[in-house]
Amino acid sequence: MKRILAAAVLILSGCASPPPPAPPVSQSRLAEAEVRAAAMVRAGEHAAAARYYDEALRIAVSIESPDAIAENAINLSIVSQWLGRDADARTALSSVLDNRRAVFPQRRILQAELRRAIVELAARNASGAAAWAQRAGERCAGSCEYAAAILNVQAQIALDAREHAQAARLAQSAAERARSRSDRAETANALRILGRARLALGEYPGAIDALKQALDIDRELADPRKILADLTDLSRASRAAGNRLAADEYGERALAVSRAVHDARGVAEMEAQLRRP
Amino acid sequence: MSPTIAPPVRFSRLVLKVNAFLLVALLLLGAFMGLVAYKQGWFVHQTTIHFLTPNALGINKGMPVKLYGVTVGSVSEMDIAYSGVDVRLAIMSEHLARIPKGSQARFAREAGVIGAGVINIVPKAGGGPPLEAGERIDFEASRGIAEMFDDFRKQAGPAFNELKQVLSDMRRSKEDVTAALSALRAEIDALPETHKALRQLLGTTDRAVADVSRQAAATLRAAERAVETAERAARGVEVAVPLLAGKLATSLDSLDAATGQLRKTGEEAQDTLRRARPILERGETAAREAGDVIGAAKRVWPLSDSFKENGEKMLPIDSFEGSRK
Repeated sequence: MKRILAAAVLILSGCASPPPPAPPVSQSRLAEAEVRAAAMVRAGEHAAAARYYDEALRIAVSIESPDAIAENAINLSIVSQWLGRDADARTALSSVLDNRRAVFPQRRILQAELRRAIVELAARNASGAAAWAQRAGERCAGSCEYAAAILNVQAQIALDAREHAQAARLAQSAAERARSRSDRAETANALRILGRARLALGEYPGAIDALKQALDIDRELADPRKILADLTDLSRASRAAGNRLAADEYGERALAVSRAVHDARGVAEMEAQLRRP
Repeated sequence: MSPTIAPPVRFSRLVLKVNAFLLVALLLLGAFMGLVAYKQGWFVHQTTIHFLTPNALGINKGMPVKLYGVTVGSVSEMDIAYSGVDVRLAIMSEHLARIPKGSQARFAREAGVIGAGVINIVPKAGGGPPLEAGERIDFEASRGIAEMFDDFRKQAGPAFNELKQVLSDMRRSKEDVTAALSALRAEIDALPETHKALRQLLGTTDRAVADVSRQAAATLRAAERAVETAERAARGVEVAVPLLAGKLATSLDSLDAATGQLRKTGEEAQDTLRRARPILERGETAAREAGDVIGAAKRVWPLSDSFKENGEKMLPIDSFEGSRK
């Protein structure tokens, strides 16, 4: 028995590896801030997450790590946008886009440009969004992992500009790119924009079909904001197609989701839509 | 004329004996073949169903097919099809009624991840109409140990991350605890001085109380004299002053008792803190050592893999954020 135990210990000792040297203190602090920020995001504590990402960004700048600077700047921009702080989101991204001294990886610059386009689009700055999306598109050259997202941003810009046919074409292209990369989130985004564009073009059955596909994906992804958007659009499309029953059903579902996520504005809009004859 | 040759006695009825031997041998052979055929299920009516698998690794012809752990058939044929391998299962017809449409075939091993491979039929929950001959069922390929470990890692990942967070918090809070313990130790070191000061204070209070007593006695005496002098003029005052003096004496007694109690309490507190000091020192050492052990464990296989930072810590860039407002 003792021999077996000794042999087992010997075998296990072969699996052990010497502990690597402890990382420098600044690196540890950076990693810790990033981990804490990610935990706060998971917990839905966006304000706390922004603080930790800000701290991580500061540490990354202090140790002159371009990759960490870009990563935390982009994350900070995302969280700031969630908090409705568009100015902070832009400021965070400028530490990558306006930084002439650091040499950032192309992928990070592309991500920052795409994020900036999204921030501008959300702020209804169509020309700014188009310019940043174009820069990101040129850097991506149509073959990067963000090709679908860039096309979706461009499709959304076209939709906002009432260029519905162009929006449908771009969204269709985005959907194909996203599907080829199995990117479900961007596939659903593309289908949603495609549905809206078709609805605007009066192609109601096609719009409903695209929106239903988007809803199916978004339900799998379990993102209430997107589910709400899909249901709202489906209600509008069904109403436009003359199917009042389906429109009311989608509307009721959207209303339930709005109430569940405490979206007062969404509740008011949907109630008004449901009351409309 | 030649004499007739008589066969030897030992070979009498030889043909009969040979025929009997051959008959018995044939009977035994037939019985053996019958037994084999019975074992192979040749006398049982069987129905064929099939499934398609992209990879037939581990599946063999003759492999048992089990339903609820009972053998109900076997793999009868395997043919390469357009999109994989078409595997046919010969199922005893009497059991086919227990396999509803929508059931699933799975490759499994009898003892978990080791043991003989079998095709396990998982009936569709809720039942339904039974399968028919030649019908196709879905097949779920088995998962290897590597995939199982991978799944485990994926599932255990969030738990390890939480653990890591807790450890990180512990490490951070350890610094605070250390600082607090150091401050507490400094306070404990200063206790003798504090105690000395307290004793001086108590001594001073004692003296003050004695002075007050003396002064009160003198005052009483003066009051008595005053009372004697004013006895006739103020009879009411003569009655009131002794009462007041009694109350003052009672108050002084109470103050003296409280001072004694305060001294006793201070001594007890000093004793308690003296006893707690080694415990606090041991706690500090234990916290420091626990931190070292956790740090070392985090760097040693197999825990090190679980504590590795994720390569990509980026939040997803979602174009949906552009249409939020």
